[in-house]
Amino acid sequence: MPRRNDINHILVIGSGPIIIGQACEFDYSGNQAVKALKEEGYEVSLINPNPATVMTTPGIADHIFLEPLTTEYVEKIFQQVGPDAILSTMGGQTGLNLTMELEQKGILEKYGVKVIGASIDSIKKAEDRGEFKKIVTSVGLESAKSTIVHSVKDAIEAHKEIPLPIIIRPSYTLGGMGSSIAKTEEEYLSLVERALEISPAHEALIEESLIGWKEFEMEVMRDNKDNAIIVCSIENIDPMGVHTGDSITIAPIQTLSDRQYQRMRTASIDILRAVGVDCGGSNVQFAMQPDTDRMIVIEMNPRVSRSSALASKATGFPIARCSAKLAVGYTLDEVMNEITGQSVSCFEPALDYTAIKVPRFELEKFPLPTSALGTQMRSVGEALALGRNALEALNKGIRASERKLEGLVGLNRAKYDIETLLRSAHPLRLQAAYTVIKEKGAECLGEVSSITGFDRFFLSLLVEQANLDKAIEENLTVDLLKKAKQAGMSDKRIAKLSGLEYKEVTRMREENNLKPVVHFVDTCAGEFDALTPYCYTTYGEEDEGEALGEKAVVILASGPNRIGQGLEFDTCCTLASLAFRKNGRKTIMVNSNPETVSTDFNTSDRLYISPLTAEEVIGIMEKEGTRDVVVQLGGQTPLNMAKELEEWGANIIGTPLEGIDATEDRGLFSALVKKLGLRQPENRMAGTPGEVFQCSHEIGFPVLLRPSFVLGGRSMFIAYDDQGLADFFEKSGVTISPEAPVLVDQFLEDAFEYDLDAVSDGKNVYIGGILQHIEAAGIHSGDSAAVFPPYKSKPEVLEEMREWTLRLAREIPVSGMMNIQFAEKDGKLYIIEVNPRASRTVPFISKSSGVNLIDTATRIWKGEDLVKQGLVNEKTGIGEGHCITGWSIKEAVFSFDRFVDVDPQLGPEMKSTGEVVGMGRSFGEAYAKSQDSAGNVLPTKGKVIISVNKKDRKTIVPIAKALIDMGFDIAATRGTARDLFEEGILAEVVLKVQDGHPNIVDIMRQHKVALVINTPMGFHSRRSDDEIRSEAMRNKIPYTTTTSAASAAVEAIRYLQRKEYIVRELPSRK
Amino acid sequence: MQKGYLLLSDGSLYEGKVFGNDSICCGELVFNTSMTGYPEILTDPSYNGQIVLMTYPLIGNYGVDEEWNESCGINATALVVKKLYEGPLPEGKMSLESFLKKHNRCGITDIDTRALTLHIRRCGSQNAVIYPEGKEEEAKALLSTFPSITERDLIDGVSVKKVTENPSLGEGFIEAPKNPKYNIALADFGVKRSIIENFYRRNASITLLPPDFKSFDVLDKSYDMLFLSNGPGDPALLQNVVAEVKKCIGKIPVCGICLGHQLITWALGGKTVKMTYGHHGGNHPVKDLDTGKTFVTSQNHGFMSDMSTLPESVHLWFINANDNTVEGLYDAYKQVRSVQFHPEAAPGPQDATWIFDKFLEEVE
Repeated sequence: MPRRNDINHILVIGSGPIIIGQACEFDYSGNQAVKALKEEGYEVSLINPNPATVMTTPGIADHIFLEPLTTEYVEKIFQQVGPDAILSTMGGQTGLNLTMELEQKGILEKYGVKVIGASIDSIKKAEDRGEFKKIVTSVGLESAKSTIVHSVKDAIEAHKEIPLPIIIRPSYTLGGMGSSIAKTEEEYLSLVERALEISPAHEALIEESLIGWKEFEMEVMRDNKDNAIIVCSIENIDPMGVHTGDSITIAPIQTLSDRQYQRMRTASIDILRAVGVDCGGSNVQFAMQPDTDRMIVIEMNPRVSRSSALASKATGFPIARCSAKLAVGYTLDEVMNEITGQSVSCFEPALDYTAIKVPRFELEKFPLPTSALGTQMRSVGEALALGRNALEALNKGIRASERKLEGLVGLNRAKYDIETLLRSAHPLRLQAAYTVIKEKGAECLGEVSSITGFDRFFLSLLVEQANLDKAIEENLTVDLLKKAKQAGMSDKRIAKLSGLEYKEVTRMREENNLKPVVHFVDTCAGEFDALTPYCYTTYGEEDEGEALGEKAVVILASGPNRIGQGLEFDTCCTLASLAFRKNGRKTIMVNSNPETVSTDFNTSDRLYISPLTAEEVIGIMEKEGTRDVVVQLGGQTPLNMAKELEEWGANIIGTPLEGIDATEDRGLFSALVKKLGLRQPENRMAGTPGEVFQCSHEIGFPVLLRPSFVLGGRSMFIAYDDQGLADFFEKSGVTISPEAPVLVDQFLEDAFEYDLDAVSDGKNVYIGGILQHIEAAGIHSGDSAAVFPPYKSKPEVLEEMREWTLRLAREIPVSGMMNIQFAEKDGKLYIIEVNPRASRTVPFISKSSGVNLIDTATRIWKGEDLVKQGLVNEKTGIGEGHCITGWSIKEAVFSFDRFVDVDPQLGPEMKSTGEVVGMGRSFGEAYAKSQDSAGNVLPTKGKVIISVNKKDRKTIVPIAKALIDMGFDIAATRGTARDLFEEGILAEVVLKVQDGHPNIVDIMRQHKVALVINTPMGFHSRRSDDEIRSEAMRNKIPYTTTTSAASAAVEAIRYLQRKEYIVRELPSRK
Repeated sequence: MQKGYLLLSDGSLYEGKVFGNDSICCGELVFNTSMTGYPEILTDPSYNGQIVLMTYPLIGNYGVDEEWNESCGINATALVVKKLYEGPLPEGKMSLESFLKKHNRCGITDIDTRALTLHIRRCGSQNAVIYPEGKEEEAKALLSTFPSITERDLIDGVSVKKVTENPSLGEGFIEAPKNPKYNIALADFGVKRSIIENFYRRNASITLLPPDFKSFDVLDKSYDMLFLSNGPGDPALLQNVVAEVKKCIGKIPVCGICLGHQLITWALGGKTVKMTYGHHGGNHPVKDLDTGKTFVTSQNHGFMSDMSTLPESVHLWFINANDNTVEGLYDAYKQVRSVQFHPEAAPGPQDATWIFDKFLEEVE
């Protein structure tokens, strides 16, 4: 069927901030969708408050709105730009939920907006577990024994039919949020209670546990002519019981016979047909009982998902792009396969390699409970590796996950309890299995399989690795070296096993012409001549790639998402690739993160899916015949290998290596600060505990302690006194020595913190913008709300910042991006750190100021200085961006609500997973939107609890008065209440946490509080402050820790009370 | 495993390791892009005389069960893989290597199958020989005199020698219908078990006719349909069969799959041509020109119908959505209907099994 002509203007819903379970895969899919729809001549609008995304870059969609994903704002967009259709399937669960809500409120009908992608009816059928189960039965398939419950009483009744262990899944939540497994009666009832509470529909599904079964996923596409294809089949190496997002997975399916596979294939299509998915992609999950044919349908998602992004990268088939085309009326046989250029999309990709995804965890930041992984997703990112065999892909995948594992390696028994790891769904379970297999040999394979649930096929890979390891340990022959490389082992790993130096292994490889060769991902296993730019490297086979040559520039991306290094950097790399290409340079992207836009097949002239290690990158550069490489856009990952690349002979584009060192090395940096006459917080290095005490006393408390070699992630710590120092030694487990000193910094309590993003050509500096943090110092800049432009600063302090920036940029000299963190205390400016690279806030600043800083940097590298670009004043050498709407506020978003057992405490270590922006003409508007988008719903009425320290009691008065004027009731802790009373404000008195019950936390727990203003009372009340904060996060009560944040909230509430819901379109690129 | 080689007629040489019976084997080298189904492929009689290269690099992962066989043994001459799985298997499953040994066939592993596939794609299917180290001379001699696929009679040996009624498919499989609704004369050129199974399931009885059947064998009996099976080799060599089929057309419904489809092409006055490297795999899209729907199908053919040679009365039923080649045809007036692809799948997607219903509709 041809393109639909009954619609002209489509609104695409983005997925909002990155949270666990919903990450940059939706930027990738949304971006593809927007491009595909524009290609068809539709007008495209986009709503997504996540400023870090590529999709919100001006020029991508016709109308871009960085507004909250709520019905009120969408309705305003309907009024303002008049779309006549809404694409629901690109924004993850958020997109589907918002679409459902728009439907329920009658807003779609009111404005005559049609839903395309997935119909409301099919969303309901797929999402409603009871409905879905009926459908499964209706097509002759089997679901796990289960039932829907609405009360604990229902649950007791249901348990009569369903034996323990039982899985409890709350309905209508995202990424399996709130799912749990009950093994005992007591656990069961309390978990049901919790699930009912979490579910927006107060509904939960309880079902028989399939733990230990084999788990599979099928990525299916179906069109309105009932054509259906399987894009990719995926097998989870981790058996059932671990969320698929946390599993190591492999594509295609490895252990099913054709009969079993075809049965699953047909079942997937039958389900799509019955649910009514008829213009897009879906994902269907199955479980199979090992060694039997019993197949259970687990669930389906009627939209693009994390798995579909993975499937796209694993096969080369652009699912989101194709889904968008189907959504506007095309059928699969009408959409060309862009990779081959000569086949249609109505075919199933044939792979001639295996693709393995390895999840990336942040165990230090979100520690595992004793039960380890479960039905709730915990990984924050993932890496993909391709190989000509499964072991090769596995070794590369583990390396690519950047968990400091040099591939499939054993664990130290002295450090790990191997037997326990084997029995728990732990991220190191595969390593534990490997440890045992290496010790005991292939004979124990059956036993390990029955303990862990890993299929024998996968364990046989471990046997293969163990045999290789042992052979290498004995004698590394050339033949063996070739085998090891074909098994995906790194030179480092081979060196360690053989006792050779790393460089010697590399030399041995080169002498024997064992160099990486390029294979293309062509979707068709070589059947057609493909035009694909997408490739990977392997060993010992024929090379297919022609080198792009020295005119090409390599861009190193940021690898798997992790806390502090994610989507923002991918956006920088993607934008750089586009900018280079616009300027006539060919680009080669290297990345391992399958969720990203940078790994989309048409972002760069060539794309390598590869672990981001020096060995692999050097191999690629040798192969491509270029030495130019960009390391400053992918966060810390590329910077870490810059030295090795330069030693090999790479030409680092932008700031040279010495410049990077001058800022990264603490000693050199202090010298630089001194030389330029700048100021940094007092700092010392301590090599013994005694020295730590001594240094702390010299500097004066509070101090910030940072171990130089971070073990287990227990990194930064603020000590307020000697006791704090003692606690640090006791609890952190840090061993301190002259070789591994602890860094002791003066901690600037109550300072104002700033982030400054700039671009420099070495002579001039263009400051994209200065951001001022709202939260108190001591909270990581990534976790703090920040305002552009600064909202509460003296002009002379800002002027000093500009001047310091210029001095630093000239001295280093910076070529390209730089980020500086400043703090201001008592009118004095301090420099905290300088990063000679793109920072997390670059996309935010670029969008808020209307100047694409990445574009600016690539033009500098092309030789066009900032004066020529018209961005700086030739005399002063400084230029600065301005916020296009007046105010732009970045708010951090956390995923704490996924972990009941994790204390949502903020500190000097970053914990947020994503960010949102709020833009407005007034500060209140911007702040209200930022909070709304972050999911912190500010109240417009109700009770506000105020508890502030002495020094804030003056500043809080006008805030309290304003709140009363706006109709709020005030409650306060005793001291605060007394001070307010003296100012003529009556407040209800509540008890502090340590003063008995019912106290402030009890009241919060009873949901009687609309807002909490609690400024830290100093070190001694930290525990109660923490408790208040935790409770606020748990119950989603807005909470502020500074009076500046409180007054920001007041302004925001004033905006909210007006119920204007102003939407502002991002200006298109000039 | 012993070192071995794969040598192509054009002189390209690939080193690997031989497994199975370690013999020298010669045949036409073709690649198959299916990611599962190696047991079905090996036992498919249509592969008689061909060396099959699996483009998916890991083969043997789930072992072999003789229940999956499409005939009573391995028909492919040899198997070429990137990596043979030799690890433990589910209980009751045989390893792929043992399977080849049992049926006295050879295989070669550790071959750069990707390079070889690209080579075949560029240069076309050709004869090749697999041999263990040290047997180079013998192998070369064999290859140099080995006939091309267009010159070989490959049907003898994979088809029945005499008329066989309602063949048993083996234990655990569906039996022939007791009170059949249809009686089908199935000309056997190497029929796959799944084809018979599909007919049994639709309440049709089957009488297998040997390839040298005569039209009166069909017309004199009360069959409802003449069905021409799949099979190996070049249909152009089977002009005797074509002549007999011609005599049946118009008198009885005639249907066919794969080679059967190609024979029908000839019998209707058309011709077949050899393809460069054919279609072998489980992901080929075919478009039903009557409904506009597209199906993902299992395919295995190196020859195809040339539509331009067929009379106008013949309707194009299916075309390949990738390369627009003929995938099916019918002549409603003469009650002829055939498909080039494999609706019985095995291995491959089962989306087109409805084709069997369509065949049987010709009888109604």
